[in-house]
Amino acid sequence: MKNNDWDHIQACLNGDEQAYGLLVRRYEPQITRLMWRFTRDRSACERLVQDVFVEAYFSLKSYQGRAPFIKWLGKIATRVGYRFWKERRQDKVNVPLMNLDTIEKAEQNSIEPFEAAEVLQSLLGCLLPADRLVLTLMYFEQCDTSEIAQRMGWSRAAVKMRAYRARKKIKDIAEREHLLEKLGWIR
Amino acid sequence: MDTLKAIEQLAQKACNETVPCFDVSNEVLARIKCGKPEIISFIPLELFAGISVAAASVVAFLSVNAWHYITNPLVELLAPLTEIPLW
Repeated sequence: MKNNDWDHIQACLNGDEQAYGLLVRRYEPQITRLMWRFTRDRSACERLVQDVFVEAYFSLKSYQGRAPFIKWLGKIATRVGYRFWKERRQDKVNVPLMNLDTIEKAEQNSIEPFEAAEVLQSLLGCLLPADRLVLTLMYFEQCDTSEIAQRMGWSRAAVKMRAYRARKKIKDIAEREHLLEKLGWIR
Repeated sequence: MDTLKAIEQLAQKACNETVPCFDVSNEVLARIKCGKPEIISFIPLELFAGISVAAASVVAFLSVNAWHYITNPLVELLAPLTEIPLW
């Protein structure tokens, strides 16, 4: 862990809120990147980033410095994002699957990253929050099953099983929606 | 092409997406200030405890004195009987 982080954390615990401001500014881009995987709505994403840092501040006493601070923050961020999905599901906020016909057909290598992200997040949005989380972390964060298990406090076997089922589900959805044809990847 | 392979390729592409930038530090600090539980000052707490102890000791003192004057209520019932000559 960066010594700077530890010094700032100690300062925060001693009541120096400005030191926490420095930590927020340092890790904001990484956390924003992660939270952007949970929602593509700018204002919701900003709110989630705030929630992560506020929650982290009030849990700062529990941080023991064994792992890098960003890893600890990532764990909190993942749980905040997961809670956000679960709440939206409870509130029956269903984001419809994006109209894949609007995608411009492109070669596999020439599809724009934002478009690829939109398509993928739209597909993932059809899954249950837990399934969606596993695949989101695998696809976007390159997490393996043990890391997902550690982040969420689930068993590794459960994560493996969930990943297997989620992949099957997303494949079915993509085939039902004729994703490859719509992307122009099948001629 | 395999659908899952295609999804993985989409994911690889999506990882290069530019994400928006926010500056949330001021909002975070403001929310922390609002959400912070107020530290309870110890002096009023001690003062309140002291007053309570004083009040309790006065009540205890009076109660102990009053205790000596309490008689068993059954005595009132049985006393007339003892005075009545049975034959």
